[in-house]
Amino acid sequence: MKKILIIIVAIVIISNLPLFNFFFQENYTYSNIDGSFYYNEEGGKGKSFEGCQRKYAYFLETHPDIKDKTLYRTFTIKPWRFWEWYQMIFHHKRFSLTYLEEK
Amino acid sequence: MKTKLISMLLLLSMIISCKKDQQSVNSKSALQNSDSLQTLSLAQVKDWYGKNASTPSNTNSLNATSTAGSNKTFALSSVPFAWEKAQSVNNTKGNYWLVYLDGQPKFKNVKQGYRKLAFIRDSTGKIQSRILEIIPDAIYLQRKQKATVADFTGRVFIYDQNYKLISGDVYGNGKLMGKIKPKLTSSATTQTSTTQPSKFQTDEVSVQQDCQWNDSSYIDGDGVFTVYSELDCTTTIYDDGGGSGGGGGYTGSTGDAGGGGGGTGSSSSPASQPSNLPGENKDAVNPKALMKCFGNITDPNAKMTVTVYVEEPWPGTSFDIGPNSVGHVAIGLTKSSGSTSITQTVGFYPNATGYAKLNAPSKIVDNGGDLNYNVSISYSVSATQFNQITNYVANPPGTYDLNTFNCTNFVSSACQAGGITIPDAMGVVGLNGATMSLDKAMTPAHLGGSIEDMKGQSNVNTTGGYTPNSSGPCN
Repeated sequence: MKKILIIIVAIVIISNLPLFNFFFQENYTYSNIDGSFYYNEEGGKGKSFEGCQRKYAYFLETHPDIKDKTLYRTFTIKPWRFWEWYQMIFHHKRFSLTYLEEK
Repeated sequence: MKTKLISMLLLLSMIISCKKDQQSVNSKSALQNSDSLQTLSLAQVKDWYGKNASTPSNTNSLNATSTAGSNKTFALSSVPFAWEKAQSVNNTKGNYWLVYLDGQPKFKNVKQGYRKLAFIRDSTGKIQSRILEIIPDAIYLQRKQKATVADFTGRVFIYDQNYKLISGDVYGNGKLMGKIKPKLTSSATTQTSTTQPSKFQTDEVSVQQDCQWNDSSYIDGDGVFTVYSELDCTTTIYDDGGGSGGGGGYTGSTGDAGGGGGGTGSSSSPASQPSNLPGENKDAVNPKALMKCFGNITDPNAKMTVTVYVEEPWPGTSFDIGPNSVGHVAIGLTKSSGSTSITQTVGFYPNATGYAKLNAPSKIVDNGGDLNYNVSISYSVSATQFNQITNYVANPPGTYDLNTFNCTNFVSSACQAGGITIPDAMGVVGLNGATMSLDKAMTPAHLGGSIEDMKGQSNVNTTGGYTPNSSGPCN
């Protein structure tokens, strides 16, 4: 029993290693209310939520007439994806954004 | 402790089972209403098929019968399928058998969906066959990657054994939301016929359903242009507001009461690979439109720079995998003249998800402003070199391969097109068991390491930073 528990914990830990981000991490996507800004994180390939925030700040600078400046997440939260628990715990900011369904 | 562990395992198995195919399911299909009466064995089906599919003189033969609406004849016996893959599907009245058929329908000018052959018993107990053309909605398939019965969205066309369209169903999120019937006269392709409003009213709201038969067409899996009529319904809810104001309405597609459908056999079937749809990858950019901007600055007196940005997987080491996963390499192109400057920073990506990223169609993504690179190297180039590089970037290779042609290869090849050789990016990435040799590939880690080794040179940056914003596309 102890062995099984160790195996399960090991699977969860290993699946959360950055090695698997490229393959398994969801391409978290974001948008503003009218879709004129859209960002895809491209899991494990140079992009990040911080990068998204930078891009959105630049977008707002260049589009000062945008009224709703809120950034929304367009991905749904899937807590059962144990291989993304690391992201949910240590990079939880992106998950606290308001959800906007993609049209 | 033991109980907790068992509970944990149960929970895990439930999670895993959530991902399992919902194929084995049964009855919520277009054939549910067919007249299956009792258990139908595969031997009976084979026997019936042997007699009917190979006897040309039989009037009920599956051979050489004219396809409705065309002069083409259809011979089912000429369409190969594998009996060993036949599946028995249960419904409330017994069971029916399904086999996959080769051939693909062409819907909206795109080959999509798949075909199945169903063997059923009719109300008289006779065996009959039905050809099903299942066309998942393209956007639904793009999002889900796989069609399942539970949430099937798309169309199911049902043909008789002579390949004559009998009927069909339109599903939305697993619910029946429309019907399909053969178009008897093929005069128009998009014409609205009768409207059949039905009204349901409560004290405060009234619900009105408007259904319209719309004519449309597609090319069936046998290559025949098929015109059909589709019953599309919309539901409008008028809220009387309980006496305080009013008006307002909500319009949306309806699910037929008691529907509960799903594409017949639309489970883990070999649905065609989802094709790329316009706007599907909103982050992908048109490299031609980006490169076109450089034409806004004339070459004479212009200064042109090419910069290679590397985000190392594990900065400072040569590990190919690290906190930054596999890392990334992007190329930055800048053309300046006087106070005008245009910069485009792009990267080469797989246009896929999951394991498919190993080898997938490629896409160019704007890496301007958001790539946190560790090292970079810049080159001043001539107008000729710059144009050669922009030409290469504007027409990138169509396939991404993690080992043989990844983001590093792309940047290396782009620079090579302009006669620039970037620092050595080749490194050992594994052992090839088949050839008993070391597998080598260009990687961000090795390129980053080589650039770090050049620290001190004026064109090398080892302090990192964020890539400059791209100027965006030009039309």
